[in-house]
Amino acid sequence: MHTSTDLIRRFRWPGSPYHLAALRIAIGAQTLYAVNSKIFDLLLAVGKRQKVTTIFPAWFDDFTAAHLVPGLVVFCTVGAILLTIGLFTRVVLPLLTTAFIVLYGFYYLGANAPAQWLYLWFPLLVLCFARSQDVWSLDAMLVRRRGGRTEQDPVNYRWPIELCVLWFCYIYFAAGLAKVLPMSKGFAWFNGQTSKEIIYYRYLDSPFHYLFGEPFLNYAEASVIFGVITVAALLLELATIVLVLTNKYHLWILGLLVAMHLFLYMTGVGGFTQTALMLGIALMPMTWFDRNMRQPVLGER
Amino acid sequence: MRRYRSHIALVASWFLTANMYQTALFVGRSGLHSKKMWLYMAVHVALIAWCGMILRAEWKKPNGLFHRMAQAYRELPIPRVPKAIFLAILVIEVLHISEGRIRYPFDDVGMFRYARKAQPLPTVLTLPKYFYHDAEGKVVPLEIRKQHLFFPADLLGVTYNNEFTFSAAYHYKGEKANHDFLLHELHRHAGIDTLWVGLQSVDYSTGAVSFDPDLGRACQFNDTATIFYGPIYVPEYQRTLVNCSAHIH
Repeated sequence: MHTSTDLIRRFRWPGSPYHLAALRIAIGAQTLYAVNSKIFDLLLAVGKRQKVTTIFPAWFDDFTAAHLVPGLVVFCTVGAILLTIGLFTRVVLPLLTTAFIVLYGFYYLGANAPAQWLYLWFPLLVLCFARSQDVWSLDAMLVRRRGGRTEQDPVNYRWPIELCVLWFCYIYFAAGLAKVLPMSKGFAWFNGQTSKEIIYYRYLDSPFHYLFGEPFLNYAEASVIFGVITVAALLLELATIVLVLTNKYHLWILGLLVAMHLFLYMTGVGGFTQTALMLGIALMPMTWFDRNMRQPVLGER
Repeated sequence: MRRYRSHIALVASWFLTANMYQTALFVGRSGLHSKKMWLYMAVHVALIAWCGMILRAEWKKPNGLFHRMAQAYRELPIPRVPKAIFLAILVIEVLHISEGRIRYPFDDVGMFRYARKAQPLPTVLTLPKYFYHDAEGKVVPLEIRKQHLFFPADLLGVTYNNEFTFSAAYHYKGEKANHDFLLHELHRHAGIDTLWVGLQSVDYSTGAVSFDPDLGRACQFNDTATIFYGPIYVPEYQRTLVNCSAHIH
């Protein structure tokens, strides 16, 4: 009898088509929100770039900026709507994934930030090969109307969810590693000055200012609070490796990370709470989406 | 512990290699020549070699770590082509984390990775900020970053999201095109026709936040002070109004 709940074993557990469909709908809705940002108009108007690189050749980046962006926004908008409602899903997904990666390549060159795309591109790619349209979709409705059956082996609904769990783990664990590597710098990071400067410089543009009007403490001076925040954030990010080892703490980790993002949002570092929650659907128990399913008991499969 | 020796050796050899590489980048060519750094690197090389010996022995075992990893990969219930694609992406991501660099869409997720020397900061923080006059002629600071927050957003709509407000408020605030784009959108949505430059300050010792709409002082401060994400764009006609033409930056 096994007692292990590690990722490799979880890949072979049964999944729920409703859990996967919920993830598809959330990814579709978030993609719709992401591609309808005015940032693309602003970046086209400004016409400048940051010193960053993409996997695309320079001529392709130039071509995208010069000719493709407005078309890609429209294309991705239509694709994201179709993905959310689950219509022509199998055809839409590869096209949407490709268009989204190209469009956000343009964004990244202009803004040098891992907002939206980091959380979206890989889950979109996973959905290209998954059966996320088997329930809660117009595709499924059309198939059933013709007398067909959509649902398959439950294992087919599990591996896309677990790949998204792995991606969630990668995002945060890599963020933790980046703060300690190289170790010679990593020790300096613990002094809390980085956290302090984020809070200090962004205060006037933060919800803490908009809501409360004045700072809670003197951010200019040294305080043990900044060191505590720094260490807590680092430990939490590194703790996401637990997601690979077991599924027992998924909700705890998701809750703590969302709380961390809410705090960052209040300090003026927004843009991640929503995407973390979206991808966090993969970490939620499938019984939340499918009452007929039960979680595999330890020792099964 | 002995059971996990090969696992630890695999992770440690990767971590030490990544640390060595990133240390070399961090200290630069000149920093590598000190005796302390030679010793630091030599310890890394010795430990990697030790891990390598453990892993070499593991490679030869018929049921060793690498054999089990390959078997686990083969048994994953994912179709063959996507499985190979996902594995390739995983390997590329690990390489980017090791290098500590981003090549979109592969990312080491190194936001806020920089370390700063612990030091007190000035008690008063002052930033140039646009403002406008409301219908009663009252001075209202333009809170660009407020516009991406669903509830307090008071001027622009939902598509002016975090990505937009961040670039408009920080990255490109010094650009004329950014000012013109903002003004165009604010005029369309809120009827604002002019953005003036003022100074917003917070005194962290007292908690007081103030706004000074004096264009002359704002323009001079903007051109001479060291400002978070650089100076803001001041329209030429406003510079002429207060005789502020010195472009220091």
